[in-house]
Amino acid sequence: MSISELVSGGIWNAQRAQRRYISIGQRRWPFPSSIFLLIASLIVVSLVLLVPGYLLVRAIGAGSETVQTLASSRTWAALGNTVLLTGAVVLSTAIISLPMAWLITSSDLPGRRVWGVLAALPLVIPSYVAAYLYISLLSPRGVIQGWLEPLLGIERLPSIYGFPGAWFVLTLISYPFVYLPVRAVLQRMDPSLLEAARSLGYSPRQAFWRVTVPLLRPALTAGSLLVALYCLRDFGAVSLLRFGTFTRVIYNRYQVYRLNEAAAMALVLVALAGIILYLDHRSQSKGRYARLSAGSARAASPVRLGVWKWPALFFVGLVVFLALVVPAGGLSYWFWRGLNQDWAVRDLGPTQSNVASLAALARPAWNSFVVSLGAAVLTISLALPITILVVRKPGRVSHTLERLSYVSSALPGIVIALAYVFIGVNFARPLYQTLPMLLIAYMVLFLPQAIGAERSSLMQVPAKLEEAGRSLGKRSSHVFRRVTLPLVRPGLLAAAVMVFLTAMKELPTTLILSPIGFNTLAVQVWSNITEAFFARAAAPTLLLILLSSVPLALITLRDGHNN
Amino acid sequence: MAAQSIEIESGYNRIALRCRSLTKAFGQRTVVHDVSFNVAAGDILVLVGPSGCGKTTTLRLVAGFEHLDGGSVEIAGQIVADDERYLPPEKRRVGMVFQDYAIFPHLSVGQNVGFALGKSRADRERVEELLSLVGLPGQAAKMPHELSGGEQQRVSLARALSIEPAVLLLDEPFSNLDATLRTGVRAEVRALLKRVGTTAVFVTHDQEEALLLGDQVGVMCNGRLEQIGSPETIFHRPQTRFVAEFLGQTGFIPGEVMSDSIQTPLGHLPRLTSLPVGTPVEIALRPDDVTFEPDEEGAAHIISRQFTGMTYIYRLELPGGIIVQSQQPHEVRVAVGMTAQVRFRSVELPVFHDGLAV
Repeated sequence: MSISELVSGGIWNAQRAQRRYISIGQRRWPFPSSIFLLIASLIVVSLVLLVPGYLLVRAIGAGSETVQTLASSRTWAALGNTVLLTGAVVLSTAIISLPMAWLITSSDLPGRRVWGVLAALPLVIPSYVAAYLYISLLSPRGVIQGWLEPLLGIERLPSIYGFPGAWFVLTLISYPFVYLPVRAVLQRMDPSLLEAARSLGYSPRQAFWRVTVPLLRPALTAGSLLVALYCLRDFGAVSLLRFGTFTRVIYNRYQVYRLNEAAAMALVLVALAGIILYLDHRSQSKGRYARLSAGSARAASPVRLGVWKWPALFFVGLVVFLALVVPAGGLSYWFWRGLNQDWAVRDLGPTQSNVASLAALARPAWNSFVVSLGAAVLTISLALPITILVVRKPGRVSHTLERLSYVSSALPGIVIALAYVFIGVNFARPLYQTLPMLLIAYMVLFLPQAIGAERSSLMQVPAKLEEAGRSLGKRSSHVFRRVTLPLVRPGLLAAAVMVFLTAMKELPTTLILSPIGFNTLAVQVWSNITEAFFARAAAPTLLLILLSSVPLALITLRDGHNN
Repeated sequence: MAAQSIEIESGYNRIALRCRSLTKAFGQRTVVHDVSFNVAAGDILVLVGPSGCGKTTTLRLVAGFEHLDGGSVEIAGQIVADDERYLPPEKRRVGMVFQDYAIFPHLSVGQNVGFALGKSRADRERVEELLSLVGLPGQAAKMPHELSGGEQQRVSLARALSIEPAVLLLDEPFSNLDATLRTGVRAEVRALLKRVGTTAVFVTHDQEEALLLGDQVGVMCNGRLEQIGSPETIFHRPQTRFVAEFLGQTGFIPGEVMSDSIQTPLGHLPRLTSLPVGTPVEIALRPDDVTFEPDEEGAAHIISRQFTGMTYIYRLELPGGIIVQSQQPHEVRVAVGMTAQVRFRSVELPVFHDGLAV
């Protein structure tokens, strides 16, 4: 399984595949310990349901305060801002991704392989990092203004804060969610479909609109859904860029201890995410597009761009420049400034202070690593019972379990964190602000991601293989260990890496739930940025990106090797 | 080999497709080399050959999916491609049925078939008419994935016929069907094309299919058209050793030219040739060209017997290690290991020298 499949794949593709799977017919149930699986699944699902359940109870309990909150202009403004930002980003990511993916897969754009890799990379940049770098460079009196002032006498740049900045930054870092699935469809598309359209009297351009574009629609929808959820959940970028969407407003309410207001708003946010998920589900339940190509796939010959090569190169180059080169350059700049600043301020020998400031990062880095690894292992293991039930024993019970586990994909990190804070304070004092609590919240947050990845890899193991194992006289648990598990291991590993990566970057849950004094890289970055210590934030940021990219690079290399 | 004149059927001799010296190279590799043939209106030509012989590329050159490096293609009297001209596929009026059908997965059966048509009432009726023609009446609302492979293939055929093509091109259309289905479908498709009167070019790697489908069969090898002619001609009078071998179950025995015959391990074959006496030649033998009688004095040994239901195929070893096959009726059952006397059943056998017929 490739990274792009994981990113685009998730639950939605798997859902579609599932339908086909059922229609083929599932005969045998090779796991006798289904009671155990069921109990494990129920525990996981109740940990998920605890979040909206508790918020609901709390909001109803607060009665008139909830009603006031829901009617308040603050809530409506947050709703308007959230919807505006989400809609704008979904639109702009689609506008960027479609031509980008087409140019890279189907045209003779020079260097398209390199562009193809570069275009996916912004995915590893956490939103708050991108926001911080753009603020530090483009804010009214930022780095760029500092360069321009002596040259052109510009004293202030137009403000980057508010909607324009949030839109710009979120577009640049979330477009790969659309670009990757669209690219995957274009790569796999059977070239004879276009030839068929040509032989039926359509020009290449008409064939593109009548055949290619409709075929891209599911990928576009799935990608846009991921972008929409990303925008709804984003906390870092909107907070730094001071745009009042729900996550930012909820966090502010939480900080001033208006917990009932925070709970009521969280419910609205969850409802919003739920509506988007439902709309997507409905648009896909038509069950079309079952297969794209059946027979031997021949590589299509790339479309010649001619003179259009130059504007195309400019476009792709501009996107990569803004989304990748500028953040990377900004980060290097601040990192370099940070090294020299220490020297200047503390008046110590450069080597010593550099070592000292970098050494101070060892603890947060280790914390980040451990807690993310823990989250990955926990999430992958707890998702497995549900996945096995859903894939290998379809039925009303497992279907319901699956539905319920989807609920967590409508739960932004800040909402989960908030609910578990309430629960911890009121019912589970000993667990409050402990690592287990943080890990449980992570598990709830990353569950859909893990189930999606696990399911697609489990479905690639034909039930026949398990039946063959059992026909050789082995018990089902033995067959699972000897046959199924080795076959799904690459998929599980890839899923774990994705969870690890996301956990490394995760901000609001960590901010709210981590034990006092438990400093992670993300928290370190965040506290430096919010206090405008841009230079000091650079080193932990760099370390964060490096640490989270290493496993990703490893499995990408492995994928490339296998292919 | 140059094109041969094609047989003229009952005065109906309009040429629907004329290919002259088609040549195509991908980089250094020439995949189609000087291929020429004509297809008369209403005729079916089958291009057959092993994979990589250039047959599919030839088809794609006709369709316009590949650009010619030399030669010309003329469809219905109009040059559509030569050294100067290139008409894009959508202007050529060539219907195409793809190996994997290329059914648009996002459109219903009716929308697939009506892809080239408009939305008018007449066009909708036309779609239904086409679907009935291919035996799928009333299925317009279905989605492609609800159809079996055979049904998808028929949708693909109906869609290609919707443009009333000047030439219909079919690229290995039966290769994705399972064997039992294939036999029936071939006959149906041939009958349908004949009923509609469509000119068609098939590509296949299956020699049996070629003989069954084609009014004309063209055998290709290494980018060249080895021979083109009626199935009977191709089968009985192969022009090259490759054609004889490709059309199936052919074995070869060595021979030597004599003054008024050819000497072979099976005896003399009466044949006059222009080759000098003593020239080595090869004689192509199919199992039904050879018979034998059990004979204790015989020089041949029966080394195996294969039962095919209707017949037995015997393998016999002659002195010198030459092996020939002989087909016998199922009631002729002779034990393996017996000695036998082998002889020709027919003397009208293809003889080759340096790979070419003499």
